[in-house]
Amino acid sequence: MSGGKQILAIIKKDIIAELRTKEMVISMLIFVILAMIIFSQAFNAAEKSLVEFGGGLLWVAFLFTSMLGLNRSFVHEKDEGCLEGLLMSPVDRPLIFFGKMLGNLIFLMVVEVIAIPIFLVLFGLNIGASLIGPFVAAILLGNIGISSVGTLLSTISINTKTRDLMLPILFLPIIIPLLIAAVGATGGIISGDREQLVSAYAAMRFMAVYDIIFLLVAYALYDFVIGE
Amino acid sequence: MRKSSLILASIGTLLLLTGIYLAFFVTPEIVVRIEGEEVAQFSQKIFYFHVPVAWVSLLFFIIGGIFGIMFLIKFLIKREQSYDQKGYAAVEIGFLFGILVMITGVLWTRADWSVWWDWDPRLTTYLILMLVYAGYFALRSSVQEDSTKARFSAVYAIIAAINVPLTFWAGRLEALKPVHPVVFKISGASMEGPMLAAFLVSMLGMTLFAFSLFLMRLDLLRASEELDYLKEQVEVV
Amino acid sequence: MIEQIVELEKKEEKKDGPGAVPEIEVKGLSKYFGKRKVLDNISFELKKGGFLSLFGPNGAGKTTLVKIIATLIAPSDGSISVSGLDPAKDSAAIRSKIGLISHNPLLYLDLSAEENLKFYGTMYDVECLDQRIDELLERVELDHRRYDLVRTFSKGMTQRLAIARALLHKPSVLFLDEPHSGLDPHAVDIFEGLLDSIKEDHTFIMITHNIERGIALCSKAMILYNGQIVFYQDKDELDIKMFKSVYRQRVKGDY
Repeated sequence: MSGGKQILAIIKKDIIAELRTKEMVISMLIFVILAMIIFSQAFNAAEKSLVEFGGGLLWVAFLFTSMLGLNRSFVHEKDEGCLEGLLMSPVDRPLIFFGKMLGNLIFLMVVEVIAIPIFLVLFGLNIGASLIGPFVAAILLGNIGISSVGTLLSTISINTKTRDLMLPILFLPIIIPLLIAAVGATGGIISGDREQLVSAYAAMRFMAVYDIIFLLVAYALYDFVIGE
Repeated sequence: MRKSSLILASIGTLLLLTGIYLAFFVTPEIVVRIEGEEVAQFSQKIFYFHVPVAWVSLLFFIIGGIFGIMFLIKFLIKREQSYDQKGYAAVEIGFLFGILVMITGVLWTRADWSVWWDWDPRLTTYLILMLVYAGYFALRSSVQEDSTKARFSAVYAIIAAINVPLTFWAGRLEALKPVHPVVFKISGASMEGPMLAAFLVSMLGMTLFAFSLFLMRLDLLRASEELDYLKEQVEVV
Repeated sequence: MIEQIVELEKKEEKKDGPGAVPEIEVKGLSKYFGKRKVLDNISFELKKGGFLSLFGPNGAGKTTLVKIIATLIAPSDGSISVSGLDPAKDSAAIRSKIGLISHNPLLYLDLSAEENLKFYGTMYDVECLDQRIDELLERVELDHRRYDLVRTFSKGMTQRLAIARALLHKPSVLFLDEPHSGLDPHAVDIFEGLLDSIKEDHTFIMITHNIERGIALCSKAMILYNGQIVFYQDKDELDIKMFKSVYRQRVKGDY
């Protein structure tokens, strides 16, 4: 694939820088765990209703955590004028999008791999062995949507006066449809109830459509967002 | 004021008044069965206002997205700004009517269920859309440079317009679970005679009225741009 | 493919011939943002090896002009060509001919010198990248620091690495965006020494506020004001008094 080399180089660069500073993943991780503890206190974790709320808690925590990473991701590019340097190069703009988007996706997943087991233990939830596949798929579909919409909108927000304050205002309302579906999907899977599983799969179909639409939109529009 | 917007506004107003007249004095009151009793629902009259307003609002959100696309296409070729104003005006009109949707929706909810807010999926969907477009205005006020503002607004208006049907779809996903009842069973198909007439007249009137507002707003935006430009010229001299 | 090669050969011929294509040609260039004219009917030519110093107050349109030439912004009117290439068709090809040295280093602080060059080298699709990196690091005398993070570099070292970064893809045109700002005199000496060594085979456009350095380096000087050229002369016939009076009148009020 042409351009694969450039996409990989952008991801690699972000990962190397992150491995050196560790500032982003660590703060995301601390934040997500804090969010879970706060939820457990605010909603009284002992109640059995957690099976119903589980999916919601999980995604609210992930959503807010993802915004920490999304904001950081372009601060690095902007700070020493690197974005300008990147734009002066002949590299296609959509490649920059896919590089940054995949980087954000990877960081989010690293955090989730650690956070999800903690979440399940803290809230005493179980996922049947046969449902682990769909559960992972639902998480992945949610993550793809978050990182594609998030990367597009954080590129916009970083270029506004209010910079990182702008991201939640633009990002959260646009992501709500995905959030609704993601909560339905993971909630249904966590409950393990057969009827709820049906609606969980319907929700996952919606998530797939949402992901594809916004990946295409971001691909088509990124040139206008990042260039001048 | 331009002649076209004046004509549109007068026809629109006339039709709207006719629609209101028809709604209140000609259409029969809807009768619903609540616990075996038949109850006439006067509150349903708001339907002839609420739905046209919602339709106009959604229409202008979509138009805003289309202007966004046109702006970006023009931008690729000549990088000209005219569609930015059109898009901005369209989103403003959409938002204005969106506020009316919220108000009428809340009133209706209050009249029927004696609560102001019931997390009814459709009204909630609308609230989300309003927040999406609140983001549009926040974005515009947060970018100083005109061409960047226009570019970002166009991109965001496109994303937001795509989000309109997605939000409704997601709202329906929620509704699959029998938490929220679908309350209003009136659909175009089941309406007949005077009801349909009142509805259509209101729809048309509201649409024309909204377009006249759009044109006026556009003129205003152009005039204010012209003024800014002239001020700048005076300062330079 | 064959057509391209033929075209390339034609260009080769032209380069040496008497009617050589100017490296940068700008004709009747205008740029509007809404009603505001950012650039108004700008025309100039720069031969291969030329050095244009661009002066003007903030907001005069200097950066916009350079960005248009770099294909980052499309013009509203007029035409430009870089090495005979049309930005509307070959924007990527033009960008790979241009190197940028800015007052910003354009380097990632958390990457080492070598990693930075490798990253940008990949973006520019540089051939034999490792070899090219060795060569350049030696040239800017940073060979001994190649595995160190840019964060630990002094301002002068960072600037040297920035130059290596800009030269990585062997550009034929170099943009210098206020390269002197923030450099101490020693770093300026090193910077200009490096500049001297590459002056022969590159074409330069420099945005600067530094009159002394700008005039010393240039072959043509231009002052932009309010999107218009208010001064443009070859260095050979440069009327320094007139330059200074125009500069004082147009630019100084800005400070």
